[in-house]
Amino acid sequence: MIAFLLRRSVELLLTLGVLVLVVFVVLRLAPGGPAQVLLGPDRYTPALEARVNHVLGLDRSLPEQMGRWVRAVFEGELGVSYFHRRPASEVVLERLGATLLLGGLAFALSLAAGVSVGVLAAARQGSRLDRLLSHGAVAVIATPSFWLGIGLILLCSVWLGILPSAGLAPIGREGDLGARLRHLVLPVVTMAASHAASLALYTRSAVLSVLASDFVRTARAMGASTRRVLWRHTLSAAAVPIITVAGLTLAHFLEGSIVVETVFGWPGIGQLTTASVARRDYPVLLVISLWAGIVVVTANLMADLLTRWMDPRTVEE
Amino acid sequence: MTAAWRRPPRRLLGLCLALAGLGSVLAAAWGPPPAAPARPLVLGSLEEPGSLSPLADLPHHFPADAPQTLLFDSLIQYLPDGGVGPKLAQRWEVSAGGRVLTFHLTPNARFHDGRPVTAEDVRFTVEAASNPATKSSDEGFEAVEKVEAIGPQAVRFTLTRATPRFLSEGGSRGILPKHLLEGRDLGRDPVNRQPVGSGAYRLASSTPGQSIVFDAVPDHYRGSPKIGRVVFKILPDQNIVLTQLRSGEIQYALVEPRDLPVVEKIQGVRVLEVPTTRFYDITPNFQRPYWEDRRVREAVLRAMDREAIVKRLLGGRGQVVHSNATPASWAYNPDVPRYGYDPARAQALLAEAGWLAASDGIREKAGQRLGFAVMVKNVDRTLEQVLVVAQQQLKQVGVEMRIERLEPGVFTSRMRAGQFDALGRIWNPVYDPDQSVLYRTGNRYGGYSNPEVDALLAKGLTVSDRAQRRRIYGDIQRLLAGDIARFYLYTENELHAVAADLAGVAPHPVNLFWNLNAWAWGR
Amino acid sequence: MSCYGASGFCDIRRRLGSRWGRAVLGGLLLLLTLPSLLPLDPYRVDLEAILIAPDAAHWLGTDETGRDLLARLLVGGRATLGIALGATLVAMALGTLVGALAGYRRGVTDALLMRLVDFGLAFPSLFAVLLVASLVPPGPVPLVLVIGATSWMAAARLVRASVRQLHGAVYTEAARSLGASAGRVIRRHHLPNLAGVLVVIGLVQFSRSILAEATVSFLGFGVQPPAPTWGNLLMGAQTSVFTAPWLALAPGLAITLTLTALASLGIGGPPSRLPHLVTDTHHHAHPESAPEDSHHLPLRPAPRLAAPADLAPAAGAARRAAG
Repeated sequence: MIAFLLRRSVELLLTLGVLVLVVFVVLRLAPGGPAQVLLGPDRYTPALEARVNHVLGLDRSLPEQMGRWVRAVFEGELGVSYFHRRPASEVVLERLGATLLLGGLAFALSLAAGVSVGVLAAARQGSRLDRLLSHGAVAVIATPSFWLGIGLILLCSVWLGILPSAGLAPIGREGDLGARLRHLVLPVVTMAASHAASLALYTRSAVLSVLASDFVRTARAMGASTRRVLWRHTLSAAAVPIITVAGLTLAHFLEGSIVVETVFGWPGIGQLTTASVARRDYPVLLVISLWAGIVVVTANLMADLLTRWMDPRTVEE
Repeated sequence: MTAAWRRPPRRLLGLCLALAGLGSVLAAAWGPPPAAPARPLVLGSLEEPGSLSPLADLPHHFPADAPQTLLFDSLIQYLPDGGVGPKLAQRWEVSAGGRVLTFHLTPNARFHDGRPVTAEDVRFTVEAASNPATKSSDEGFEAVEKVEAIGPQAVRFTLTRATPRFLSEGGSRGILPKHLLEGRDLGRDPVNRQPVGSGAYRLASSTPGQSIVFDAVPDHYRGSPKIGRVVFKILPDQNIVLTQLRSGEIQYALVEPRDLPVVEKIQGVRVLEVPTTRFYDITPNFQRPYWEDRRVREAVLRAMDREAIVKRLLGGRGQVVHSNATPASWAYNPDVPRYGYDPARAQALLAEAGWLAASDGIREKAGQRLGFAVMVKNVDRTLEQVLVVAQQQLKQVGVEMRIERLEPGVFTSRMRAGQFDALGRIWNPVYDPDQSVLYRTGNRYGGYSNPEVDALLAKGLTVSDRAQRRRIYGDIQRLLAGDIARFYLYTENELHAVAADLAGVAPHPVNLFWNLNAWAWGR
Repeated sequence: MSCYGASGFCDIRRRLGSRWGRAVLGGLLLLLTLPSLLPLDPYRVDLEAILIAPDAAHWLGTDETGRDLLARLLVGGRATLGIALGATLVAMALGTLVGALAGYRRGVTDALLMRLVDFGLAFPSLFAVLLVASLVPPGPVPLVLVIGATSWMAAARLVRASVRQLHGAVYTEAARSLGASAGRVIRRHHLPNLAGVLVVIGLVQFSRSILAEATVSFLGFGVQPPAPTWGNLLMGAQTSVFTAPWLALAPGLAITLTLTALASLGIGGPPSRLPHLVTDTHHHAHPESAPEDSHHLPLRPAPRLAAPADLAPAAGAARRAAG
């Protein structure tokens, strides 16, 4: 176990390292540096650009820039955003909370809804309910989330007027928990929908295949009730791949969804990413990619640990 | 008996606590909201303003410039007619042929922390803006050679050369408090999150990506604002902006002509149409051989039906421009050569110039196709649509125009490097009609050159009399139009959707919020 | 319509050959080829016909410059499906190559390639898109490459898993013991099975790529207007949802219906990651102990060696697991 953890930690660091390296190189290669964005095209002269680049440290060689950045990271200094004129980590952190809230809730909802719908459909395989749920799930997956989001806003906010259309909370009432909860409903549902639907389909097929397998038939032959069979045997067998998918889903959510954030005015890191690419705000992009790398690798690791615990046969050779 | 009693109370207690907790959560959640302050003005904004520091280089349009207008007062106030009025400086003197300007500050101007605004603060701000280590924009201060505080309330600027742009541009920069910022790292300090200025509003709170709240400063030296609280609400999607305009959650937003059918139906909202100094054109790269022939340029201009484009695509909310100034500019000259829509004439000109139609309809000369690529930023949606229409109209006279949508960073770098056939973008002279950097011989914007224009450009910067300058720039406009230095397209009017019961809003070519402290609720 | 997921690979292949399956595939083919044959002009602007709701002259209405939406939708469909096809081929090629190499070579090659797969999965795909877009002018070719390059990992894993399963299959051992060379075994026994698997992966990948193209073009990093694709039609419609809803409805419905039709073939794979394909990280099973649950592929026996049913790995392992 220790050896496994050690090995995975090494892999994590390695992955992060390569990720950051690639991002660094690509960002520097991209045409149009922050100097041009900062100065604005009308005040630009090559001399001024050289001055800005010197101040920003961009006129040094690539390995030297990377070395400086890595050293700075170890000192806890993750760079200063050109555009916001504040530490990049601060810029990212203040938006991270919103993304975590949205992503976390969407993940929980998609997991709960997806698994329950999948199990339900599997238990009633072939019935009209099953067909309805399966087709419905497919339709949800096939719908682009921008569409879904706008549609929900039109329905719940404009026509029915029961839910707010954008933002974290009404201005001036940020402490109002009820209002905050209401503001969460539409974005969370939009974000969770597609993943919940695919999780439902996947759970359904996993449960069905386990139900068809011999050991379940044996258990039932030995007198176990359907429900007992479902919950005790089937789910634990089907849990392994579900957990793995859930891990990837969680990572995806925590990277921030640009579409959902844009449509609902949700101040998370998804929007920050596109805006920062357009602004060539390297420090912020580096911090975001660090975060993304950590999230993905950690989520995978947790999923792996969970599956190992649940099913020791999956231990790697 | 006693044993049985010992257990239930703990469980019971736990249950009661849980219920109480749940109850209080529910009560807090759905209980009455805290008392709202007097009616705030909520502005809906598509973008986050970015930095709140007056040192940052921000574009001159809403919402980028508005928060700074609220927080930081500048030396002068640029007025709607292009004139200049007092703000932090109550009067000023110009001497030594325009090279020395002395400003006398209003005695009771104070920063939000109560300390008075002094000449040292002005000096500090100018030096910080000109210091590359702060990564600031020195816009307006490029010509400053020296700045000195010659008294507690008097500051003297010595310029390297007399330029009329200094007063309007440099005078519009916000002034920072030296006593709070001296010695701090202005490029990255937390002060950029807690800005302190001398404006009519101070920062009350800000939630990143969500909202920024400004509260009025009581006893402000220019008169206390009547609206106690202004909120910038960041809504990245225009549909949401419209929804919230409709529900009254926001009382101001910038809208596009295509939104008008929806906005005009909203009760309690009116639309203010404000002409601006901004205009769009296509800048040809004169290095390309086909642009050298004036007949080709005239043909391209005549092939585009700019009037119809403005009427249909912009819904008439704007007009065609024929040179480098718009009617909103004080230097505007309506009397310049105009090249109206005339595809027949365009075709004749091209034929005369030796470009003859090939089999696919596109003209050729000496084996060379008459085609060019126009670069446009992918965020300029309206311009792009205009170009799409223009593309078809040009095709009809045998010119192939390709549209290249580029990311702003890529656009800028290629513009820098001169790697373009033509570029389509917006230009905004803002405070001063001078655009020397664009048209002077040796410019990096297409390479247009005309010695007569050079002489006039130089002269325009040495003269300070408004009437004289107007004549000079009028002549420049005439020459530029005559030379077809650019394919001038159109100017869009800004459409401000404002709550109908908001009084005091006055149009301004640069910044609608210039007189925010005079706005009030009520008819 | 009860066949979604792993247990129904055979069902899927059957469904493809059925009438409905052929209808769907035929429809896709039509969408890909028809626009080239019809006299459509998705670029023709008409200033007099701006933002017209669907009527007799324009069946789906017009956009902000008067272009006919139906024409743009059809040509856009060809573009979207073409890009999705290209991306699928790229992803499949890369994935099969990596997966087969890893599966057959084992050892260090396998470990290195799997780390490559992990890295590929860890790299945020949207980031990759943005970075590529900032380096290279966006367009169909970079888009195909980027989508392919960010989605080959799933195919690689599945191919590797199948290869290992095939290796461990009883008939492989039997064939080898009878003297067949490795190459011959691969050609005659493995390829037919792999082909079936690849078809299925390919179709799922196709669905994913359609959605990926739509998302990337929607964000502005795909094919640039005025050339239409379903994704950038959605992008252009974003600001007119209230004033001209048909602009968003048409491409949105097109995407939804196409993906639903594909899914009805039993390829209801999730858009983010193909779930079945990730299971193999946890099933580095020994060749002999073939996977015990049917999350792996139920392989048909190779045509030459008609293995009796109880030699099929799945059933046998299931029995072992039940004990």
